[in-house]
Amino acid sequence: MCNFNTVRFSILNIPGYLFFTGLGVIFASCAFLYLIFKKGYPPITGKYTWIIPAVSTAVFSRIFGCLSGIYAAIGRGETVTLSSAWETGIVFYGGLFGYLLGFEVYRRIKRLDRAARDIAATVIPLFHCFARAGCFCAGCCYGRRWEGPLSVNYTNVSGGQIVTCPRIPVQLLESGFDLMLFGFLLVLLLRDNWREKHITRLYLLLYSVWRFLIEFLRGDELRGVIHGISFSQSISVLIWIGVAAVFVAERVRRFSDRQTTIS
Amino acid sequence: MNRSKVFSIIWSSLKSIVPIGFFIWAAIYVGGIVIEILYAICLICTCSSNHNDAIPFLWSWDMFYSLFVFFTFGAFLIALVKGFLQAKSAINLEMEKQRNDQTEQAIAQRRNWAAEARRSTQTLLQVINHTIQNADIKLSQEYLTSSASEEAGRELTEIAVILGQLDAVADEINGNGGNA
Repeated sequence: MCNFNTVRFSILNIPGYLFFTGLGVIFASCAFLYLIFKKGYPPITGKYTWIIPAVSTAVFSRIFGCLSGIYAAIGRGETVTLSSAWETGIVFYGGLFGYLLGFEVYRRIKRLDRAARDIAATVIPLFHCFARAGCFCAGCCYGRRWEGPLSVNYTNVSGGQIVTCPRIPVQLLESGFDLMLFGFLLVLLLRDNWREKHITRLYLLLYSVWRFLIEFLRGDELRGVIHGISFSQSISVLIWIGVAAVFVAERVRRFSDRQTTIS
Repeated sequence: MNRSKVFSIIWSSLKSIVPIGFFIWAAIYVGGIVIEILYAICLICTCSSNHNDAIPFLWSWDMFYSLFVFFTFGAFLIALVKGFLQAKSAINLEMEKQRNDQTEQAIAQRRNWAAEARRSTQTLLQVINHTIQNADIKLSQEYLTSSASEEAGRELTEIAVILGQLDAVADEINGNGGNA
């Protein structure tokens, strides 16, 4: 079993989470710029329009963090206070929502078609792969206690105390899944009929299913659980409902268009 | 597109994006100060004594320079990729413009040839019609030339030339997949 101590872990004197998140931003941005070029879109111009998705991602990840704090307080049966909302971190789903919303605003300003959204969605799991590695180094989002294969003797700060115990490295499992998901979406994107693949929807569906399942292996109960369902699992269910609603709406619209054509 | 233009595109990309990395680094430290101050004000207003650092790791000054290098270098890499792709896109655009200009010239040339071949064919048809109309005129025993027969002779000797031109135009059209 390998040991990993996350307390004051840093790479080149930079905190592990910040280091890997920064690497994720660099790789994902370069991949996005290249894919935009490859698909024949005009080059990204404008110094300040990129700020919209960046700020939106940061703001919504924090908002969802506060919401998860409220969710956790409800789960523990405590009164919801300002500190229960504030003394939380950031949530990936919030960042994802903020990024997609911010990119949608950017897309409309630059008058890009809807398919450009699929290019933005393809690079999200690449960034997330690095960010999850950062979580592993930071000691957050850790897994359950586990002494079987793949377990890591993990030292981190939990509930204000330094705790060492063997755990499932869920952060690394998720990092690996995100890398595979990125590869899969990239293969779809590089095909000629990529516009018909609805890559954004596919990403949301696949990731939300994975997230729902992997949450059962998580060991950080501070993130909040109500009747055994965590905040992120609830968001995953909402995503399934949303994707299903979009799918049904599209089918109904196609059916009514066909009816109009026949009549 | 010459090399200096390519370098100027990459340089302008570096100039616009690298300072952004610097400002993000500065914003993290300044933002950390602002958040800490706001949080302290909030605690004071709510009379709460349960104080934890909002973002404690930002206040570690020994990472100050490491973070500066990290953010600036990261922005440099992104700017380099963006500048390179922007230059490549500009080169592709210029090459396509040159290809389109050449195609337009070729189309104009083929149209001229087709018009000339049409005129020649029209003249030839007129000669043939004139010959048919005068077919019942007896030919003299002596070889006499009239203006009409002279003209017919001239036009008929040019048939080979005209047919050759028509063949060339047809070959051009067929060779380019009908792009005339």
